[in-house]
Amino acid sequence: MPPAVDPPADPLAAHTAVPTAALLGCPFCDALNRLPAGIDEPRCWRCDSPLDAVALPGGGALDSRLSAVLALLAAAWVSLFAAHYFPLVALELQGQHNAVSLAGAVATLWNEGRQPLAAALFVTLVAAPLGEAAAMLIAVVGLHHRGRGPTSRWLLAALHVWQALRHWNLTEVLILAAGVALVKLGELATLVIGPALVALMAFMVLRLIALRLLPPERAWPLLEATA
Amino acid sequence: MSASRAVVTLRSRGLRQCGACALVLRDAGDTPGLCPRCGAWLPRATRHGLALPAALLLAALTLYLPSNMMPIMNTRTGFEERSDTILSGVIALFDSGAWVLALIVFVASVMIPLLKLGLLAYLMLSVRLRWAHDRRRRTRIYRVLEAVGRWSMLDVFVVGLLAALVQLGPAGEVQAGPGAVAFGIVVWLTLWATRSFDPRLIWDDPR
Repeated sequence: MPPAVDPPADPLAAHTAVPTAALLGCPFCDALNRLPAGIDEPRCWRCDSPLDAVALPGGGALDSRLSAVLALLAAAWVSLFAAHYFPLVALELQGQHNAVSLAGAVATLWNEGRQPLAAALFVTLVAAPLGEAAAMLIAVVGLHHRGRGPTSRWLLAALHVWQALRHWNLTEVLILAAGVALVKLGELATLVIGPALVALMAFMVLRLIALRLLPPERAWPLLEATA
Repeated sequence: MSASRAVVTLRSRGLRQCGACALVLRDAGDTPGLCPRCGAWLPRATRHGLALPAALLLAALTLYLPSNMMPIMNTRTGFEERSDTILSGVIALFDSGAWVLALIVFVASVMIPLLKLGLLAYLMLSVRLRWAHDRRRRTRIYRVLEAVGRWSMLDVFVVGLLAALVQLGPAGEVQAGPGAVAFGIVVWLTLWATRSFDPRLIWDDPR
């Protein structure tokens, strides 16, 4: 049973059922879960689904976690620049040489008259990763400086964009696809892995660690922790 | 667990939760408004039925077979010319001895789309028939479907990479076939169908 708590005096109290995120509805089965503070990776008592939106443990641990995510994101951005600057894969056949970068591959497909394919690749491999990484950076910097005045519109917008773009980023699928392409061409020609592919792998790993330390769902409760 | 009459849910308490930031709200959602914490638009609370996911699933099913018959990739080299469908591409990989990779491509391009179509239909049927058993397992199936769907884009990306890269004029050329886009649309439709299915329907009270 949810506790009948007197609303505390904070601006959200008029709307929320309980203070902070002690109560959480399961997004998969709608059951109410009451979560003790500081629990990591809780699961719904009824359907056993992970409850992602639980608040992060606060205090000094939180600040060092945000610093770690910021460092990871800085490294991820360096990898992302390299992933766009260098060629992704190169090809050698009978003395001929051809190399494409990520954006170059999209442009080539577009010019070949394969616009739908080019658009799909652009959205999932160029726009979504760049947009998500930018939103993550803005959000984490904003969270670092939270509590100094009202929550900025930038922080809210960045968190929303991050959450929305996360599922559109298919970088890890591209990396496997490059591996498949490498073998498929193996008989015809020599395919050379470009520096951008290695950079893209680094970006993928750094992003996944950052997402694990700070999933966007767990960032929202931080907004009221200091309010 | 089956005595769900006693189970406390958001709905039974007249509460609702912000779709973006998961803040539990006191109002039952009779009027649309903005979330006080994250500013997300909260539409009037409506329970989405099976109409949208069923329509998307049907569309995906209709396009599935044609997308597998159309060539996804046309390859031309100095001495041969071939066009591949998804399945013939897997077989070619297998024949070249890369059977681990062939298996990965087979799982991503053939098994996952088929399993998604079948299991999503199964979940919708179970909701429609108001089954009360295996709810945990069906919820887990839904979570797995949500997680693996993206890998089906593998073949589309392989074609995209090769078609962009292998442009060597007379020496060799790879072109994307109509099957690549058709299959991409199938994958996108199944992803959308999965997202539009509300897993909470699995837990609704049986008659």
